Amino acid sequence: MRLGVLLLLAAVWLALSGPYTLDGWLIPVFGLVSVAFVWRLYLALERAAGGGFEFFRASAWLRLPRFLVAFAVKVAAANLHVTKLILSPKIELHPRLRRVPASQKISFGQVLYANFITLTPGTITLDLRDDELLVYALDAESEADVMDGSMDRDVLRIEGSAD
Amino acid sequence: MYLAGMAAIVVTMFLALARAAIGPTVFDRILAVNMFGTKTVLLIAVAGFLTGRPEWLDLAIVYTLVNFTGTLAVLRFARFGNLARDDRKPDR
Amino acid sequence: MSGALDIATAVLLVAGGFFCIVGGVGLHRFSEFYQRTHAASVTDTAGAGLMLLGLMLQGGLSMVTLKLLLVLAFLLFSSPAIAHALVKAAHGHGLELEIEDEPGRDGDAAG
Repeated sequence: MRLGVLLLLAAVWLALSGPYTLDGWLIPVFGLVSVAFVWRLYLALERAAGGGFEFFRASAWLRLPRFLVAFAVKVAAANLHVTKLILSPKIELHPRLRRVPASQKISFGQVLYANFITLTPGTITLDLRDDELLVYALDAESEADVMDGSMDRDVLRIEGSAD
Repeated sequence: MYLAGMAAIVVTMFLALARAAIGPTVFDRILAVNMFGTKTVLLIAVAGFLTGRPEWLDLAIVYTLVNFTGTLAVLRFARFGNLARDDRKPDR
Repeated sequence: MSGALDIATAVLLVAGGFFCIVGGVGLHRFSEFYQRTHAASVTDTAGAGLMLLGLMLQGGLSMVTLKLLLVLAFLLFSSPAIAHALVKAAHGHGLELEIEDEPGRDGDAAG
């Protein structure tokens, strides 16, 4: 996984500045140094977190497109709902807090789920503790988006542990 | 069409600035300033296309990251009263 | 550049601008900090997403589109992190949270 991070960093550097400047020697050296430095920072981060991070298996890339589509649909629907709330002549909100189980197996999946909820307008994750999220929702409809567990299933599916 | 998009972004930036100026709590202000920052990123990107110089996108990328780090730093400062140490109780 | 593509870009840019302004208006119409974060997340997802998508159509298959994708990815990574950090800091700081019912009293929601 550390190697994967290194490759990803190198790929991002190549995409951002590589193809234009490979003729000189100075810029590639700068690139190598900066990639090595950021990788070093990542290793320090791993150590500070007390052990390596756990990511999805490589096969998750295959399931990424389907997840992105589900993500875009959910976020678009939530956006329309919150837009309607903002533009309604009299704003009526019924904010509430809910505990939502995050059934993902690894912490990366739980974090992805929490960020998914936060990114969806109308719901925001306050806390993640003991495999449970504390979610603040604007009203009943926003709450229902989370409580019906469909977002949880989306993340489970890309994690590869659905059903 | 780029101008229409930029006009909308600028209006949003003014709304965010107003919230940053009047926002009753410090968190309102940080939220508004962060929103101002993301709108700046969009403004740079659209302006790059308007002037036919999409290289400005590099600036947009850097600005995204600076905005993220800056907001977290300000948030941390608002909470802990310093940027260096880890293990202090938050100041009330 | 074909006309249809230009029209699609214009529509996406205007739609993105609309959601940006809606978020900005929400920043003023909502009465409490925690509600305003939702308005901000509208501009971060719908506003930024649609606008960058519109620009991607102009970029075509090129480095420009890749960079736009990177901007979008960074925005989508950073905005929930910031939103969560803000709300958690405000909550930990004791900023009042107006809610209609407590999670502890709510049996079915906890399960």
